[in-house]
Amino acid sequence: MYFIGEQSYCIQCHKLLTMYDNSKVFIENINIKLTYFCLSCKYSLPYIHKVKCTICHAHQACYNSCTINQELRQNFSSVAYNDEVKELLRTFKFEGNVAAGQALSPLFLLPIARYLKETKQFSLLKKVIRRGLFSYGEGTSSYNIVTSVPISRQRLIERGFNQATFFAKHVANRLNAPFVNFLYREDGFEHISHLNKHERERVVQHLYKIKQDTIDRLNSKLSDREIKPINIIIVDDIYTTGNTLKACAKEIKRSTRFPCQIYGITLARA
Amino acid sequence: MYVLIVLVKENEDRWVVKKLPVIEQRRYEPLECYQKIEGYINNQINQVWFINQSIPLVKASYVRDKQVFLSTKQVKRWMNRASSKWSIGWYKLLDKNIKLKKSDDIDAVTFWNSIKHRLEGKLLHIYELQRSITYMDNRINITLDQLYDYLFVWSWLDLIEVYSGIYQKPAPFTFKKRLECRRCLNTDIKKWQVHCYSCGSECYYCEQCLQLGKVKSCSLLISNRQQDQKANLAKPTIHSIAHYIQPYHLSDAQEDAVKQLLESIIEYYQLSRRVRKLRKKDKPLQYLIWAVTGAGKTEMIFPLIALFLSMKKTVLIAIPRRDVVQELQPRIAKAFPTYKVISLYGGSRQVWDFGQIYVTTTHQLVRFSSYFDLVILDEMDAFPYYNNKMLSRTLKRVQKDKSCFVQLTATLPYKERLQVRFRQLNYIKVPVRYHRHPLPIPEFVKTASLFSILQAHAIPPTLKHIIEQSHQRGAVLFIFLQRKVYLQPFAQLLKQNFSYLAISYTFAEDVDREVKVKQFRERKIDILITTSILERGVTIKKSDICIMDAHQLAYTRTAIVQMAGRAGRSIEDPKGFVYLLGLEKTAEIKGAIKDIKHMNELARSKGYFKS
Repeated sequence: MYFIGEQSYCIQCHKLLTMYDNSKVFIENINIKLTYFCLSCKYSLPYIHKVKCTICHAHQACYNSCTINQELRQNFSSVAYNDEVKELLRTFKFEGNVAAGQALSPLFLLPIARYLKETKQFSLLKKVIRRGLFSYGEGTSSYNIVTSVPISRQRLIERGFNQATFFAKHVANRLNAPFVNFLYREDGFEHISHLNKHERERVVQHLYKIKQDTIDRLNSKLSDREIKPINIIIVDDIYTTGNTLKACAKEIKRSTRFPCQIYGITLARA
Repeated sequence: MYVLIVLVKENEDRWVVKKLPVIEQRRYEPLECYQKIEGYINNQINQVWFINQSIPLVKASYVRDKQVFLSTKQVKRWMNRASSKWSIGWYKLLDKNIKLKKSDDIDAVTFWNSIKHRLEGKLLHIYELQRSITYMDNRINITLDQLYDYLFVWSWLDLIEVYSGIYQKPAPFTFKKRLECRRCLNTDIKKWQVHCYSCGSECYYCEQCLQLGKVKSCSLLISNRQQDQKANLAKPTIHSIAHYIQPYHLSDAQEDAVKQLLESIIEYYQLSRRVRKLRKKDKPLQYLIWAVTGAGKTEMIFPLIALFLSMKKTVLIAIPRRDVVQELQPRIAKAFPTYKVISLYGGSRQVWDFGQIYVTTTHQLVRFSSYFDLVILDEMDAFPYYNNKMLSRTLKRVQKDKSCFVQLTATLPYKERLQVRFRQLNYIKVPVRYHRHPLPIPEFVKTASLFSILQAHAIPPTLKHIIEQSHQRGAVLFIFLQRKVYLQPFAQLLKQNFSYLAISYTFAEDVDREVKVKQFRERKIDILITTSILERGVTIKKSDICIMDAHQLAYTRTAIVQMAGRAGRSIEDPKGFVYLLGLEKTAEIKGAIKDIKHMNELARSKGYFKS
């Protein structure tokens, strides 16, 4: 970010930023304003231009047999899971550098636009592209709800923040939609990142539970009316096998009493 | 959400912690809480200290300073008012559903005595303290929750001091509210609006010392409470100066400098404060020793260390580079066999030990606070210490008051040069090497730039002459380049033209750099091409220096002097050759040559040279 009289550095290569690094990245009719990156780092990020599988949003060949299932309809992500993206996410999650999270969050504009095109919310898409963030107090759109993948309470105290919620709040601000915490993760389980593909499927199924209070309140409000199905968006940082998102979607779908469709939006796609 | 803690005083010095069940603040009013607690505590209590008063005070102290623990003054005041053997404190736990275990049977005081030495002179993050306890003693597995309890008791017993990580710096004459990191003393802290789950409110964190573990405003820093200074006030026995200098066999120039240094230090410590003020010698003890490359700086430190050890004081030798620390530690341990020498660097095993002499990298000093009486900083103009604000701040924090600070360099950067010129720094010059021969003066040779040499694919006659000359002399050759891109093609070009010489190159990321330097020292390699990574700290017998593209901006005055100092360091070959190849003779080159000539003249006028 460049201010007059204040020095600031690129989050990735730690070079001093100048006026000329201030330009935007232009992809699919959208200006993405990445203020914390220098010009060469902005363009070297591995954006996903062409998608091989429309359901899991794979940029390489999709080996999972993806079919449209009732729980998680589609996933959208913005960049491939590169070594550089990995390093940035590591500094954000484990070192606790909030600036890295702030730098990465504008990248969510790309999957948001794809999601809006897919669900045919063109009036909202126009607003998102033109104005970006909504001002406070504007009427919320009633068809979208944003949630995030939870982390365990013990880890939440250690880190001080949930990285998925951090991104989800940004997404909710972009869409002018409410952010609701449906889910919680049970304590006592280890990381799933080092597990096998088949082991993950087994472990993940009982990991995420729904908060009964919030879902009851939503059910009582929404079940009476006859309206269009509501879109629930689950936000996460990385999509590897999709098991976490599917488990969360299953849990939400099981307990809701109103018609809903569930989508996933993630930063990186492995 | 509050948890009640009760301290039971058994004897004069023994306190036991007991916990009472959880009471939710939202559901009950404070008075109702109080009644509930009374129910929990059985009839054992004679007199309960009035809790309602404490709640607002605790909350206020928590919100304003983010300090979880009460200050001892408050507690003592309330204790006097209560005048009972029971005293009750409140603190906010961070989470709702933490399960309360029964408190362990280890006494707070006995546990303190077992881990006391680990906090000596240190300022530790709470995670570091927990790690030290769990890693060093395999028997005790302490959770954070239990550690909070113990900290609570220790702070009441005046054993430790607990600080919040980031606090609002008091600034009486300004309206600016400034936040400061207590660990690295960083004052420009950015205010991200991120909700912190571990304290339940908005929290700030320090960006500069992030890699050493995150310091937030709700994280706790713990230090040992300092002992009374009256114990150290007894006058130490100081011997004569010759007693300290004699055992180390110094040369004339070294001896003159050390005598000058020791006299002023001894005078400072022997005089009382009143006399010092009268004679206007109350300035802080700061010295800069400006010794030429190869003057034997480390030998000059020894009498200084011996003086401070005889006064029973702790000594620190801080060095920016890690490999120099590993080299220096055995040398100092050999010189002072009766004292314990501790070396600290990233991944050393002596992190939790304590001794009299510390040899550390500058990054490790973040864990200490006001502990050392003598601080020696070697190579103060080296990376990463120089121009790093965090490290220079922490180095100041580490010193006690009335401590001595000595900097050692071979080359002065511009800022320090000005300070010396205007007499703001006390400085001592050592103008001659230990073998009493003059420094080799660099010679400028006009040649084409390296890029055009590589493009033409032909070595210029000047460079050819230099290489052949040093080969006939039987010397090895250093060649310094500016960019590591040119290393490989230039080495290839030299190999084609000089097939009878062994040629190799290294750079910063090279894995087997140490192996190549070792081979170079054993003369298995004739020409070593490097970047500025081998600029300092390398001593090789009988070597010549050649610097390519000397007109480039990266070669500053100090860098050229350092590189020229690699030549002629041994007694067998005191005269080496230094060549600067470049397009033009810049001001930096002129300045470097001027510096070296100045030192030689100074030594000649004092009569240090061998006749």
